[in-house]
Amino acid sequence: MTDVVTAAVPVARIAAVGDVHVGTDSPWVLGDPMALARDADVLLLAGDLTRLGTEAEAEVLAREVARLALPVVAVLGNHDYESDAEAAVRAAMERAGAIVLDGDATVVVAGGTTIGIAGTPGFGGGFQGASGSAFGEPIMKAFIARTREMAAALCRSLRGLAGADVRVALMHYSPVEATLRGERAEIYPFLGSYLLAEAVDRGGADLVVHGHAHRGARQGRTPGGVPVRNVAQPALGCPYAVFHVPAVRARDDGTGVSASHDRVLVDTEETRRRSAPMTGDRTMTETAR
Amino acid sequence: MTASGDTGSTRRHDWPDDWHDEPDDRYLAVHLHEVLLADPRVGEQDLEVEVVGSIIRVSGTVATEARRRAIADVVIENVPDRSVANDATVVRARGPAEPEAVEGAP
Repeated sequence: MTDVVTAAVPVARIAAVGDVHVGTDSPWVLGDPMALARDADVLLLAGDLTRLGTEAEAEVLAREVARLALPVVAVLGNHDYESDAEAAVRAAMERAGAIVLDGDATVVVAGGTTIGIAGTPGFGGGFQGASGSAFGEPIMKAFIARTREMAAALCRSLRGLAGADVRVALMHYSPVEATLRGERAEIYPFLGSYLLAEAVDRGGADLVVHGHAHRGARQGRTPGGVPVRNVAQPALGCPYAVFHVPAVRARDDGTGVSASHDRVLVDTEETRRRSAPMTGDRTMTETAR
Repeated sequence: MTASGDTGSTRRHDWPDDWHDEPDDRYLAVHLHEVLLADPRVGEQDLEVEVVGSIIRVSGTVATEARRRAIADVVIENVPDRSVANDATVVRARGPAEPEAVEGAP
């Protein structure tokens, strides 16, 4: 088990960015690695890591991730599926030490604070009053079925994090319309789904971060009141956003993590003591996956 | 209309032969937008394509100068009888992030 420090930090410092769209010709996209490690406890990558979803592109981002001295948690986006090589994209990121979520969750321990992160790419379908239904042609049913599958897994993963001090839902597609304002309304059904918001409200979270909406607005809330932030890099205008989320949840067992949840614990204090580039075996103190 | 990269977005299916070989100006802008997204030399989605007579005007943003330059190559390869007005600009995310205190979760 992790040797948890008892003095809790007042906030979880969460850096996040999506849609970095790295190509083989890309410069580094995550800004100053020293500033990132100094200012945040964890970096979340909200999908569209690559331009065309090739392993070669993923390797470029992986080299940048490998030199970061903080935990990195990612989900894939639609671009990462473009070349039917999403498994290779995922593997490249994992070799660099990133945790890639796909309907599951992880817990990062920063000081004494547990940050639970549930992640899914998500999918489209639209929003209340203008959404697709699982009706008619098989391909239409399959479209909505994928969104339902993503939402159901997200809800289950968030519930499994119920003991964490801070819970974050990480996804590529948007759960709300508010953070899509600026995009053409006609394409909202391709940018997100209300089912993702329902999963968050039913599962419970302190923050949702998503990408995908390059021209979208920065802030919104789920119908249940959970803050939603669009972190697509083109919308941010800077390499990443940083959110300070109060760590207010009471811990129930000394770790703040429900015992039944599949999880990987990453101790950021141990991570920071390392000066060498991080590798895939970094500080994995507990693994149940 | 073809793309250099055989990616899923622009794979030929069972289109009639003239579908790609004889571009229809009424649909040319949207087809070129898809080609620019799928071509590995550009691969950018924040581009807008406008057909103005014999001129193909491309605007929007890309991440590198090489990708910006490649826009004209890709367009000309697909519609060699047209001119390209390349108004795309290179944008890179820079600067520090100001932390935001997020509160108010239920």
